[in-house]
Amino acid sequence: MSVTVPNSELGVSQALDLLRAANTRLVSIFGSADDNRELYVHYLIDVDGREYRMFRSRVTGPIPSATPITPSAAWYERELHDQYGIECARPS
Amino acid sequence: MTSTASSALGHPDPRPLLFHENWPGNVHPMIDDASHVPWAEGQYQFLQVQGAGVCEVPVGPIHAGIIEPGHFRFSVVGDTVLHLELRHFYTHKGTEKLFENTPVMDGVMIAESVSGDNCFSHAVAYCQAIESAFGISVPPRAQALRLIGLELERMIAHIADVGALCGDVGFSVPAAYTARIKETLLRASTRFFGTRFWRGMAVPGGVTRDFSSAEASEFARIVTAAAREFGEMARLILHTSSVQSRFESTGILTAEVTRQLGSWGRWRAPAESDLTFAAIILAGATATSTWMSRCTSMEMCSHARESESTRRPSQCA
Repeated sequence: MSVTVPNSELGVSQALDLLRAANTRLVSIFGSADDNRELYVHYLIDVDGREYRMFRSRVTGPIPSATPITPSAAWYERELHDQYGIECARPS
Repeated sequence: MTSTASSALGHPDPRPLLFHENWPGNVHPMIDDASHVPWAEGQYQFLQVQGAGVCEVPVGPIHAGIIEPGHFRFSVVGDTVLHLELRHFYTHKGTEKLFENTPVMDGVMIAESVSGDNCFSHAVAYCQAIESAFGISVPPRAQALRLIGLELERMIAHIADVGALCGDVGFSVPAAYTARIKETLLRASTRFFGTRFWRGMAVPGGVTRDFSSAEASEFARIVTAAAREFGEMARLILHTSSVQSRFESTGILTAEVTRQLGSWGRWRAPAESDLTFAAIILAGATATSTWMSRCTSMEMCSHARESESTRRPSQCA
């Protein structure tokens, strides 16, 4: 398994784009906070059952929800809100 | 639905997940101080399925077993589950928060306390993260012992789950047998390592205990016998008509739902090279190599097939 971590502001939209593909599976979404209380969201995505890709993005406001794309995101996003106060909104 | 800021933003399910009604919605422990949290009041809203013939079946949160509390609310029509509401985390311990400011060498104890079924795999995952972050290499023998522990834990999970499947369809005798087989493996771990669930075994940089070639061979014998016994039990279960009728006609997971839940993927057994490597490192003995390969669930299935080809179905009624 290889893991790539593009530390990008575009991480969320890149992750959501990848999740729309038929050969991908959401493995996990989780949050983190650095020493300056900056928040980050991480997406771990399985591609073809062979490769894990990770996307990390800084969170400065509500982020688009992955749940309409893959219902398995719902619990991870609810946990993001419980633990970190990160809001996930239905994409416009 | 519980009112939260996210509900205004249109999340499909804005209800809290980890925290229950007694937890204030504006306290987020990973960014807030969670040492003194006031008690809150509230009402959890279950989604109710309405219609003719719909029956609501609540199960838990207290169960007749040693699993942690969880509430399951099934909305059913006959055998068809229209909706299932799950509420877990009654005993959420704030494990994520506990890791904060914990020395790295102490964190393994928290990692292995997350879940009893996955005690060793969580401990090894934690150790691997630390080893990766600090560029620590693990000696081959320690890697081999970790592989044995991980495979044993996986094997035990398969055995316990097959027993649980039997329990769920009211086939209680095999459920008890699988519990016994599982118990022999836990006791073997106690005998050779002093721990049923390999607690305290993994440590960043390696493992804390070792065993001799003679002990490895005896451990191998016990594991091989358990795998064979389980294979025969699996054959008996699958040839029982009452079980067949339940397994084959209820609880069908469609491809679409599987995709939505993300409950698919490719399972990779340890490569033969991994197992051979572990065997050579441990003892260099043929017996060890044999039992290592028999630890895999694939091998358990082949035991079942072997038994099937040599016995008539009537013998296992």
